Amino acid sequence: VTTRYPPLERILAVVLQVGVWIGSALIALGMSCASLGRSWGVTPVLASHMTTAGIALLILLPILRVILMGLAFYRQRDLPFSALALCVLAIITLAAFLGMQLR
Amino acid sequence: VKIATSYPEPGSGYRRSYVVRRLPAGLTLMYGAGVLSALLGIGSGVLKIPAMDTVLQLPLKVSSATSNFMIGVTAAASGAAYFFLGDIDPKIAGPVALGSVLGALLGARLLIAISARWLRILFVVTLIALGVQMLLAAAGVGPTRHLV
Repeated sequence: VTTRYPPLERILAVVLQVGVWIGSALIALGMSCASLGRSWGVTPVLASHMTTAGIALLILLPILRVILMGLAFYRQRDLPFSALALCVLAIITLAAFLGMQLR
Repeated sequence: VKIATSYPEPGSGYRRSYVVRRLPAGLTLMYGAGVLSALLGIGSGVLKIPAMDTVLQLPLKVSSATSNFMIGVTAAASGAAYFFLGDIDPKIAGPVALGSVLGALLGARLLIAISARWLRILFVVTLIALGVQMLLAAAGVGPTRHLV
């Protein structure tokens, strides 16, 4: 069966791979700058921000994956699965919110 | 909800079909796996994979991949909470994240390359090692600071 849209697995694989590489590169760059930054003209604060940005991206990727899956299922008119993705997204949001409140 | 699907068999170019069975029992076991992993502080994959393997009757490679997906999603929720609270120290989390990414890359390639039989053996050995480690920790042998 041919569809107008690329297979979901392929889109997810590309997004996750590119995201992981960018996140890892940011972390590696931040760590390198933290140890050698003075000679490169990079402040420790900027180096720490680079590492933090990489970590944030790695945390965001699984959430982005669920959003993409929900959108892809919706475009394929697979409403039960898009509803499931939305439900998972709601649970992640609620869990993160509760995690911040319960401290 | 479609719960009959397939996954590509590496090398052969064929897709292996499978059907998800006993979904309510699977949901209950996943709940138990979540509670136990939160109580014991162990990765829930070691509990989820046998549950998916035996109850839902998923192929082991599908169970491993699904477990990764589930862990990523649940970890993202707590990870985001810790991140916004400022509890993540880049000096510690950076090297840990990089090491984990490298290990995950190797593991993902191994998952595709090795046979289901060897994957099962590897999984059983890991379970035994984890069990022995927990027994030793409970008996007070070795580093137990995390239990205090």
